[in-house]
Amino acid sequence: MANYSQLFEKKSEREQLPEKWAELLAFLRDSGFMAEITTQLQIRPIVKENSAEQPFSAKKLIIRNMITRQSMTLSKKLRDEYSLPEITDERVDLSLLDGSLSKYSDEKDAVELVRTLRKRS
Amino acid sequence: MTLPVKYLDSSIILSYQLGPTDRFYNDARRIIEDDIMKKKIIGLVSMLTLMEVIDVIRRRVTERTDKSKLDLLDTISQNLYLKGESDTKIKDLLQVLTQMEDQGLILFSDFTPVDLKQMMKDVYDYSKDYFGIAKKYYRCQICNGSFEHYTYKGLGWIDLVHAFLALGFFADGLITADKSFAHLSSDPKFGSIEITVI
Repeated sequence: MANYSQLFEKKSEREQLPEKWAELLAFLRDSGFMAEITTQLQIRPIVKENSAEQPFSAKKLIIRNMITRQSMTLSKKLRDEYSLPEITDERVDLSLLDGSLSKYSDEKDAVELVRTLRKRS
Repeated sequence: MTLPVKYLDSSIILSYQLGPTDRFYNDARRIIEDDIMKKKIIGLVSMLTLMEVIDVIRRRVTERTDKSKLDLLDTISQNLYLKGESDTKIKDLLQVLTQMEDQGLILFSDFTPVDLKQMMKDVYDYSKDYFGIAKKYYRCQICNGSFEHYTYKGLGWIDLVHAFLALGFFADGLITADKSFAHLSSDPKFGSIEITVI
């Protein structure tokens, strides 16, 4: 059984957690993910950190997994909103996109168009 | 090994959709067909990028539709016609992007992963100390007639929102056709993301 001084030491250690971990905990608490984290990490965990190549970043891992998980929901929502048919073919039909706006193109290039839009916003 | 996740600016998707007449098309095509489709990178498409592309499509379709065709219609019919034309293009876009998402080639993200209030403060703080360049032009941008003038060129606040979103999403890179973004490459604040200007 731990005595009082050992408990005190542990408490003291906790209070001296490195700042990055304190930040991480604050982030998890403030963003409301605390309850969901376990689930988040277990669902479609395609993002794995390779510690040999990159420093481990728990926050990065959590955000990446969160984006991966929400991406499917967003994609489904977009398909529903625009009444798109269910995806049955695994091939991506790029011909629908490639040059499909060419009828509406002229000397203004994509950057110019986006810049004009942003100026008007 | 995990594929690098790279944030796609609106200009990349638009260049590809505008086709070979666009001066950035070949590079945008390389990003989409070689890098993303061949699984060298995962494209990250934010709702901001998507909203911008949709907006540009609507404006572009409206501005480039034959005036004589629209003149024959009443206002309500004009809007219905233009909405139909725009929606067809937008549906094509979403059809492809959602197919790509289904295949794990791209990821969609809304603003949930970032603290929007803090991010907009970061954008403001960055904007107030940043200044682009004054560039001299010799022709009027509207009538193309001779007209010497200076225009301010540089990162606008929406550009910076894209950059800070890429940071907040922990993207490995940001790909754009807008050369103003090159300024961020030398900024240590954006050191964790590779800025690629095609």
